[in-house]
Amino acid sequence: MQLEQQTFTDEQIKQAIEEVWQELLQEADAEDYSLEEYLEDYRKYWNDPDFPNDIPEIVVRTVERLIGKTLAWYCELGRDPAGFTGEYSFIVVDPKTQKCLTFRQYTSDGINIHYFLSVTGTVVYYEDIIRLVNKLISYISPALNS
Amino acid sequence: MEREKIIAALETAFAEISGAEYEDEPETFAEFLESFKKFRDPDFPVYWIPYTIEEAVEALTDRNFGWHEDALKDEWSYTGEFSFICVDPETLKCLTAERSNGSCTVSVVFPILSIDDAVQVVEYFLRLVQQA
Repeated sequence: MQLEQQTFTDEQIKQAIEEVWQELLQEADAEDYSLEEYLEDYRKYWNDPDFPNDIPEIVVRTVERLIGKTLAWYCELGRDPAGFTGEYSFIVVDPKTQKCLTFRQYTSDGINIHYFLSVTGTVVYYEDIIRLVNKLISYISPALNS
Repeated sequence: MEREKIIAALETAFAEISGAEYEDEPETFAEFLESFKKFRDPDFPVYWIPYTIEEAVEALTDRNFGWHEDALKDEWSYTGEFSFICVDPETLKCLTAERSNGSCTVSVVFPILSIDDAVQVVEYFLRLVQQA
């Protein structure tokens, strides 16, 4: 699949996010709980270590749905002494080829395998998720296409 | 590869990372791991452990790799386990990716609480590099 020319409208991304959210609710056998409600709770409790941070799962599953490909991935939440910083560090791998899609080499030993995405002030709204999805797709597209 | 050679690479890497190479009576990597095992102090420079492993693997293979490492924690302190992700910059292949039961994981986890554990982890990465 060639993704360089492929762009997704906000509406397409929003629809994919909604489908992913419904899938997550089903898997968790959870009652009706809208993504807006979850994000409202996220804005209140984002720094509570017991609050389930589903943002990475939502972002990657939405990307998978849009590009029509399953990905292997790892996400670390950025932390400082005060807690979560609002930074998400993604490592994404194509499971078929085992190619690391977030790999970048800047100099002979300047190697980076993470892609950092941050949410300003750690306050997340629907449009932030759309932005994160768009950014992750743009970042992994060159490696997916080569 | 001989165990002595791996231990020598680990000790050299640790001396560079910890700055012990500038001390009169430097602590060895083996001693550092013993202290970690005993105290699991949250202020302990725990990331010296995976960095030492990675540096030793690179020195023994004469190659650079892309790495991610994490010191695992439970509610109280470090568990003594470390997760690693290793990528070969020549092929972009994630060497630690493993497929099983239809899913794919990208990281591997090892307990590292002694020099023997550390040697085994280095041997694991050397095998991965050789197979790749």
